[in-house]
Amino acid sequence: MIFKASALAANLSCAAYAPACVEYQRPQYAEVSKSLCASSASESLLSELNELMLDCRLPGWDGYDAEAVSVDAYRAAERFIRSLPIGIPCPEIGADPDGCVSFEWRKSARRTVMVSVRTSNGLDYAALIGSAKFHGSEPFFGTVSETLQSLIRRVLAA
Amino acid sequence: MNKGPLAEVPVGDDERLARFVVEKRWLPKNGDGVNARALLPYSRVELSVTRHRDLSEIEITTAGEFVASERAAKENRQFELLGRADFQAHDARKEKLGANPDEPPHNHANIIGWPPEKSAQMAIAMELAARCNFVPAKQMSA
Repeated sequence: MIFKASALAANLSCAAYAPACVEYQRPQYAEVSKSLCASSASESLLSELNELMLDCRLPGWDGYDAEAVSVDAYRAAERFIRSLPIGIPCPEIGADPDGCVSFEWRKSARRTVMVSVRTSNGLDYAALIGSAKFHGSEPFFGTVSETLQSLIRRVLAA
Repeated sequence: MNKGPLAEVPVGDDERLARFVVEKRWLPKNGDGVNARALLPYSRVELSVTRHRDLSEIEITTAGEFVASERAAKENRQFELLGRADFQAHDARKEKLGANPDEPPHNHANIIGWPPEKSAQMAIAMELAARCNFVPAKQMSA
């Protein structure tokens, strides 16, 4: 299904982070089939991504040596948000010190999964479930893998 | 900046180490400690921490405020210290990491020995975060 993204575009004014993303032209139409893109959760996440971009647009935003979140990292994170399937709860968003944007689904400190979105079509993920650790990397071309979906559901399961 | 008296003193297993937090998204929204992002190594594959050893609470807070001021200076606006994530050196060593003094600044140390893959670093940072004691700034001595 093709969905006109004007409502999202209105919520994602590039002016909010214009100094950092002058080259980025938002597409007018977006493929949103089977994603939660049209939901308010997705809009809220995209809005949080804009805020994050503002806060982390300069190197050293962590007080240490963090890399700035680049426009490429922003685009990759946006693509990831749009690919989140319906039924997956809204994650918390943040920036990693290497400038990648990451998403965390967390029930507690020992029941958590984090996915970091690379600028180069890849995801790094790790999970802690009790004392068991899981981690890996996979390519990302707009679809969240069954492996990751299953890990997220497992972490959030009662 | 000069080296301090701990520059050559190995980090003991029971020493407490602090990672200061000035970015709000490093704290989970439910107030449950600190998340793994705060403990990921960068820009070298090392995590920069402050040793509690021989420092008063006020001196530790001052070190944290310095980290916040570094961000403020870069962005030319005010940033508050949000708190510190404390863990012991043996928490890192359990994960096959090392803790080495690295001055200046005084009491600075690096957590070293991280695996090269980011996903493996994330898994270790998660474990460290789960063992951390997060002290909010309002509970730190001013």
